[in-house]
Amino acid sequence: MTYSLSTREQLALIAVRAATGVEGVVGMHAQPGGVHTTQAGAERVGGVSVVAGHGEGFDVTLCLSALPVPLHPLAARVRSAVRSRAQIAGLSAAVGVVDVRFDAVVDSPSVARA
Amino acid sequence: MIVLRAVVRLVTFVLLVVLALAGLAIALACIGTGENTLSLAWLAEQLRLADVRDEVGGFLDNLEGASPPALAILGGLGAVLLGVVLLVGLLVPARERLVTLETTGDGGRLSARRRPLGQIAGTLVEQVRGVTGASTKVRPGRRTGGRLRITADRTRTAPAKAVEQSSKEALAELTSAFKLRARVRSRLGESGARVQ
Repeated sequence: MTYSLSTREQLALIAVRAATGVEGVVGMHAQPGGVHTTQAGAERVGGVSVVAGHGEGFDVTLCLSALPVPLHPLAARVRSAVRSRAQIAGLSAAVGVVDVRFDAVVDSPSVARA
Repeated sequence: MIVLRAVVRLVTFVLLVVLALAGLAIALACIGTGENTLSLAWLAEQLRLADVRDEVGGFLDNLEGASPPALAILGGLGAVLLGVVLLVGLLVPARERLVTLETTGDGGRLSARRRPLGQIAGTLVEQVRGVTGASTKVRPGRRTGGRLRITADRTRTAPAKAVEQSSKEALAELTSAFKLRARVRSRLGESGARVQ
């Protein structure tokens, strides 16, 4: 039996891949209790929630761990990366509001992965 | 609010357990009839419900009298207060303690939790000359911004005013970006603390 991912699930994966590819982002910050976690097929994607927004698109919330860098430009780069990846995947119309929140700031990437 | 929620959860759990046990006892008592076997009459006898009825009746008579006992009034007020506390813990929604940095034109929010902001602020202040350590406390505002309280530990040779001024300057970029109102105070660091 095959299972194709829904638009919402695809967006969650795209958003996470885009965000973690941005320089300055150490990783996603999954919270206990499944808050801001999206189930995408068999994969449980932590640190992102994708919910239907007011318009036709889905609102994306990303919870990030970041290096101590200026957060304003970093958030702008994350948003831009998410939108451009979604566009490449043909899902640009499905992206609504992109919220970026910094849940942790770590000195080095290894600290976040520990 | 965290304490209230914990109290509500505990009280709810205890009440549900009590309710379940009471229901189980009544269900078991409904199996039989008569006074000596398992029955409702037997259960009432075991619980001395007749005595309880007499005691409560006497208490209620006193309460209706001209001067009700002070203990009863205090108990009543305590019960009302407990009810209000439980309702607040149950009904008031939990607010995520986030400091909002900006809201973009399309409604997207950039926000940060208190801890990373405090970490950044602490790191910035610890780079100030004469500071040996810093403790921070961030309180988010209702919509945007918030308050940042910093306590900087300084060496004996570092003047307090200079440390506080330099700390504010070090924090300026962060506080202006996040619309935080910074309050910095300094104190003498513990003996043995050294500037890194």
